[in-house]
Amino acid sequence: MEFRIDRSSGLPAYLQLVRQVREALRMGWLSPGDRLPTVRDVVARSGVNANTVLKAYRELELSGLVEARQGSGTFVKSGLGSTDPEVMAALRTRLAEWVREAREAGLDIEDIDALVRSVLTEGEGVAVG
Amino acid sequence: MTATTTAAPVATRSHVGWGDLLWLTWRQHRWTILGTGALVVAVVGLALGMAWHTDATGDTHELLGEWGYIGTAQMLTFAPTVFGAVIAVFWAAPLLSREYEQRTHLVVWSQDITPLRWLTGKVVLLGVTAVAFAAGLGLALVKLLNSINEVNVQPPFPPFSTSSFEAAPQVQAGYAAFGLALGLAFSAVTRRTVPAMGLTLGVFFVTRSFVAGGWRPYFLEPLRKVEPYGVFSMSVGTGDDQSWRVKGYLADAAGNQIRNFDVCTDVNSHVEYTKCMNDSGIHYVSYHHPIERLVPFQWFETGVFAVLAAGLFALAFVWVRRARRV
Amino acid sequence: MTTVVEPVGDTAIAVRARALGKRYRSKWALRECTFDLPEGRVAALVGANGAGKTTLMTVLSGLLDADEGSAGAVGRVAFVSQEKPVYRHFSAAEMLRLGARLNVVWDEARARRWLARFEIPLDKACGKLSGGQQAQVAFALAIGSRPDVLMLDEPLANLDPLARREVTAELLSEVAETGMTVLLSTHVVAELAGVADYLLLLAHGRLLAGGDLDELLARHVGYTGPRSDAPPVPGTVVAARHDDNQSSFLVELPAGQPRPVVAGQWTERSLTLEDYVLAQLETTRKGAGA
Repeated sequence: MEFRIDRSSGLPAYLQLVRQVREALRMGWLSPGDRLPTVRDVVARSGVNANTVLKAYRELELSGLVEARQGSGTFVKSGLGSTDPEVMAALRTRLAEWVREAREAGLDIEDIDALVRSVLTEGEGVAVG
Repeated sequence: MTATTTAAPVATRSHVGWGDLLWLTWRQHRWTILGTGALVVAVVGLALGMAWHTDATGDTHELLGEWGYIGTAQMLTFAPTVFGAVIAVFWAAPLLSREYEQRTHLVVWSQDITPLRWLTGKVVLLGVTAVAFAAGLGLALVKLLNSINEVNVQPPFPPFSTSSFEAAPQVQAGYAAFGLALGLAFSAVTRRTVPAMGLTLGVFFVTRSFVAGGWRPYFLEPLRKVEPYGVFSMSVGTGDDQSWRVKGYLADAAGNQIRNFDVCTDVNSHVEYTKCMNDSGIHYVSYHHPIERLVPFQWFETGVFAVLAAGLFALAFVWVRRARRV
Repeated sequence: MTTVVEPVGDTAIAVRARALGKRYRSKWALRECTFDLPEGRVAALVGANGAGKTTLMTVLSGLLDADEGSAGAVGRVAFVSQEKPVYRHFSAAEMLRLGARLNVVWDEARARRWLARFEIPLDKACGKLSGGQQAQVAFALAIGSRPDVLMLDEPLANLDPLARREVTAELLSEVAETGMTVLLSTHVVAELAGVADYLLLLAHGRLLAGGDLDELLARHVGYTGPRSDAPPVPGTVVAARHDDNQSSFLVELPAGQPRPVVAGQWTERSLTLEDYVLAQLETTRKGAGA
């Protein structure tokens, strides 16, 4: 896969890589058993610092998405879309309910977006990803 | 996929050696060295050829006519006079300044070699070459001048004459070393090639003129000699006396300096004049250096320039070492 | 091709400076610079023109003596100055020959690979190469000497955009393969994200900030909210701006604590490297020390 760094983003470069791997998993471009490009390849092709790539891979490893196999590379361990469909459906229903409430309270899409974003960023300060 | 790690042969060694400095020096200065070398070889060849011809034929007339021959020799004696300046201006003055101007000192000093080691290498290698050239040039000229002197009743190049004195190989070596050091010092201080060359040329000739004209006659106290006028006038122009007369004057019986057209003005012939002078008790007082002092003087002059060179080298090294900017 | 995973927080130090000072006549070009650059990092030395970047690099690489304090690098240092000088009468091959002759370690294959990568003719006199090509020869020489620490003064200046990207990628590949430490100076901050992982920020000869880039950015947050004299979180205010009914703060959060949660009318904003650098530099311009 091809990594790219958005230099105007406030997100640290290694988190951008993490996000891109997660995105690839979510979209199905990567699936369990696939090998991630070697650090050297990413460096050569994307102009990203090796330490940044290593940090991203370690982050992915810590979150259990990939595993490093001694001598052969880094492999995808599990997919992202593995959440129980029933749980997903329940979450979606509750969210829809919440959005309806918000609209009734007079919030437009932009307001809702800002609100969701502020709640999301609250969580981002501590954990990562 | 960079699936293969090429086991590239990485050369490793303990230090940068003289051979490496020699390579660099030759690569950077080969045209200067070759150009100078070609001129030296031409002058040496011509001088030795003329010396051989003089020795073989026993005269200096045949080839180019009397004055043509001596004139050519005189032209050749010019070579040792300017050789030190050539080294100073064309070898030494650009040595550091050109690196500074083109910023290449940052390249070479960023390798595994300190500025001082680099400079030492260049100075030693160029210095040895320049001194060898100078000594070779001097030896060839000394040979030529000796050959010419031997076949002339009145030697055109007496030993203490500037050309003869300065052609001695050790003196030449001293000038070359001084030139190298002087050019290097100006190169280090000015960091600009053209000013360094100009200053080097000027100071080189001022220093040489001062030592040759102002100091050399007094390296030792000249010996004083008092002769009756008649004896003095008989010795003029015979070439027997190879000593170096630094100064001389006529004195009356009381020892006071006189001017020769103030006395014996009413005589009509040379014989009468000499007689009148002798009868009046006129003496010739001279100060001179005997021929035995020639070689010591030459070594002393070499020493003077060697000491100057050492001081200037030290200045250049300290200047480079204590550089306040890059 | 085993990727050796080294801990990023490795504590081995490659370059160390202690109260470093350098003076040009009576003016201090560098003062009280203290930092440790860990091994294997790609550090960006950032600052306005005339901030002392070149001075710091020439002192660190041993080309100039410091007037105060001390500096040292572990192992062999290669320095490529801003002008990327080469000997005009040498061919590129001869420049590599020079590298082989004047270094105790020399990797001819690596140097040649760099030249081949950028299609530099080997036997043409450097004086006849373009400025960009001469720069590649200078880089190849530095890479071939296999330094432990590579210092590059404005390496990307005077290169076209494509060459900038390619040089960056090649350089980072070399770093990944050899594990060398890189210190590169630049005044173009925008291109550093993902390239550098360590920052040394210099202004008026003094070190404003230094450290792991991600950590620095994580610890600095922008807050915008209603007009207020103080930010909504504890920390050091780096910059503050107020108008009639709004205040914004750039806050340096205390080290070692999780990012605090802001509530109510305040919004928080992560900083880009450029935001951070510009904010820091601005503090020195106003003369309000951070």
